[in-house]
Amino acid sequence: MVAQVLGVVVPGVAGLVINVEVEVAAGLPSVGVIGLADAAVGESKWRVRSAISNAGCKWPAARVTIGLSPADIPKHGTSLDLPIAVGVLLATGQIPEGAAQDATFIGELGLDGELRPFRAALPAAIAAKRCGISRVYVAPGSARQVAVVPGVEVVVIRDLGHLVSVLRGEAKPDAIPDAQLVTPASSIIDMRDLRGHAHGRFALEVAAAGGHHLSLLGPPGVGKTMLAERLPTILPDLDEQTAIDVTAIHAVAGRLPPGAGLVRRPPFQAPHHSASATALLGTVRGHRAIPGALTLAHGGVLFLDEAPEFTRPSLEGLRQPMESGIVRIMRAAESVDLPARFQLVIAANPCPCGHGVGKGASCRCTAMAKRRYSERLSGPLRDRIDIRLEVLRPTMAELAASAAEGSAQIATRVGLARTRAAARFTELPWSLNAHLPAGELRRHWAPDAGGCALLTEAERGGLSLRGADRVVRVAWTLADLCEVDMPGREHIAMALGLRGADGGPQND
Amino acid sequence: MLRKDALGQYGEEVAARYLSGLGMTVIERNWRCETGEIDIVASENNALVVCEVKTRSSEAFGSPFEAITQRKLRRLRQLATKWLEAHQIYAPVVRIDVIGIVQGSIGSPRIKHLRGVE
Repeated sequence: MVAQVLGVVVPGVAGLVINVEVEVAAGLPSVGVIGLADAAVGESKWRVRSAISNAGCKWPAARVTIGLSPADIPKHGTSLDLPIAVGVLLATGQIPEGAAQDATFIGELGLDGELRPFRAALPAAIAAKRCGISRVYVAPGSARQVAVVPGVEVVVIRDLGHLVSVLRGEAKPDAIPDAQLVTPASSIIDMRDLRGHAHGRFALEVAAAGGHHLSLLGPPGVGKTMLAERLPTILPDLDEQTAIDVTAIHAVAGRLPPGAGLVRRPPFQAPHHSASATALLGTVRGHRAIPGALTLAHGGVLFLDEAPEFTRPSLEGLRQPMESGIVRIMRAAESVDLPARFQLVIAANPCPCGHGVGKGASCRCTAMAKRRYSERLSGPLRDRIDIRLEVLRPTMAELAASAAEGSAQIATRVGLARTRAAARFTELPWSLNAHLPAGELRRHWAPDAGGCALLTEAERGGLSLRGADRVVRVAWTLADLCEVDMPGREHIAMALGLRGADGGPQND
Repeated sequence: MLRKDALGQYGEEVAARYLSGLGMTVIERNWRCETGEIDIVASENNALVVCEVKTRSSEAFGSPFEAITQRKLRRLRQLATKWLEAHQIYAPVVRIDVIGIVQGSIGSPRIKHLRGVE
């Protein structure tokens, strides 16, 4: 008899529904897995065999063939243990026929029959739902993740014996366990810690409100990293869809503890400058996509400290995702798209010695060394950054000033500004000023007459067309923060100030 | 004689009678050569049947069939060829059967017969 059960594997950040077929035929006792199973899936037969015996059921003394279809796609991981076990039990009549219909089974089995959580349960459940399967059997540790998918019935199973009882109608599934509270790092750091830096705080608020990319340029030790780390603390919670995407990505990368619920706070990724282009962009290994730092920063902040020290391929790899919000990994045989809609923050020293700011009196670098250093960040990359901030050492008076505003207050203003922008862009595919396409911007979203006049002057003064577009985007964010309906002359002026010198990190 | 050998010999006797009962002709029993031993050689219609018998006193450690590994099967195939060579016989079909017998401490033996295993 051939039994069919649905399972899911997760080859990238999206799941793929697999039809598991189990045939139990007369012959010498043996078990074979076919359908491009990798080592982990191949070993599944041994786990399932022990689990079935230890769950009080019987492994058939016959020839068992396990087929995984579609058979030409490589399968990896341990999520297929449970559907294989259910298939064997169905094929040998140990659970009632039809019990596994319209459902999918996700999880790894222990030798004692215990059902263990599958790290990528969320994308697996999403894939199942998309195929019209709405009942998902999972381990208690995966239940919270699966429960966030709308319209999915979660059946929580402790072990294989429990599953058999549930499928026979003799027992009830467990309740979904409470989410384990994980204190995000962002709740420990706060804008309040930051003394002085009035200009920096304002730039950060604007960047947060409009989703603008930001560069921080300054000598060592003045607080560039402190500023950047605090950007996520003033960003609003992720919306439902982004939260699901972010949770799926981090689950696939194995960054979530078992039992964790939905990730609601924007992630913060700060790869070290020795990171390879592959570590940033992600890769495909044996038909399996591995997300890189860009994808892990989806919905949040990607912070590149000491940006000029990154390799050229790493930095240039940022350009396309910054525009499209997608990393496309191309290999000869396949191409995979990974989401990467992040807000970029780069920090850099002005020159190799780090002191070439302001008048640059203490800078000892030669003009040539300065130029070479600044050229490491290419023009096209610098051009994509809306806000360029020069971070200077706070004065003694600023440091002695009374306590600064906390993250919560700033986040409220950011939230209000974002709501204003989102209301303006209803029915349009973007909701942040930074994502406004250039063509749309010029057609429908010009500033008022005074602003336009100032912009024309700036263009005459050497501001590029793309640069002007970016100034207008930032001006819209400033207008949102000031609660006015259209950016005027003062907003354009302020946006021009935030854009800084066109020379980029070089202070010329 | 050791207990397990006695059980094995008993099982082979049971198997031989069982095969005769099915209408097969038992040609030879316990044929040995340097490669190993064939428990029962029989014929059914035009097929030569090389039969391996496994006897156990209980199924606590798995079914008797689980003792037949791929390696054992390969050796049975070699033995079949050797037997045909030694007897200068040509058979259009050569088949390997396995008979599993479980004999508890009381009652009659339970016999399972797998024809043409690969």
